[in-house]
Amino acid sequence: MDRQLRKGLLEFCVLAALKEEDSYGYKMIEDISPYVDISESTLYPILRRLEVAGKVQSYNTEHNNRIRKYFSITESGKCSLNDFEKDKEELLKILEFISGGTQS
Amino acid sequence: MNKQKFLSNLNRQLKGLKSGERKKYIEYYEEIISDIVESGVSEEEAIMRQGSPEQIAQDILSNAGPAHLKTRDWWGIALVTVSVLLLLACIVPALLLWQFAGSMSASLGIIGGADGPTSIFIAGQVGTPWGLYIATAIVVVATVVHFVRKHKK
Repeated sequence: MDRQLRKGLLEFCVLAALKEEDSYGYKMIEDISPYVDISESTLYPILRRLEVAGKVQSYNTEHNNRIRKYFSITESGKCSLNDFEKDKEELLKILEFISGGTQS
Repeated sequence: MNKQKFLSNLNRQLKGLKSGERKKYIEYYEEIISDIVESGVSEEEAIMRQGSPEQIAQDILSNAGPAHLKTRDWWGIALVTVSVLLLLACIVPALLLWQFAGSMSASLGIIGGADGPTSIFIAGQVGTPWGLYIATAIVVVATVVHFVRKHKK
């Protein structure tokens, strides 16, 4: 997938991965990678960006005598996801237009 | 390359990043590698998957906002410079005087034993420069506070 396009979508993928329950780096990659290509080095900058924007929060827990950083979605993050849901129709139209354009 | 070496290498490559931000990245990679190893992959393989620290650092730095990049701390530089100069101003004369006093103790003793006006004159010459000491103390404390606050950020 196009790099720019993927970058924009990945933010929503991360928010979606946190929608049901809090998660940590490795698990998020496991959850997202079947759908979109995501690597360790792409995930963290996204998490940081979302955290700075107040869309996710992080907290530390202990796991096997080491620290594991968990992330949870905030209200503002949930709003972004809902907004995306609203944009979906528009997005589908755009996709249709793009693929229609390449066919003719 | 083992985990420790990978992380210290990455840490070095990320020196353009603010220390708090850099620490977060190192902790993240430490956790990810441990998690991959826990899922049954060898440490070597887990690190191989991450790619080279140089490449990772380049990606991180090119995506980092200006707020996360290290900036030159002009206040810090100025405070340290003034602190050092003031401390030197406090210590050097004291050292010189001490050496001078050591070699001249005999003659000083004679002068010291002289009549009233002379001793007042001498006291005025070697009187403790309290103003300098207080100024130095203030600047040194300000410098320490500055760096402690910066470190906490």
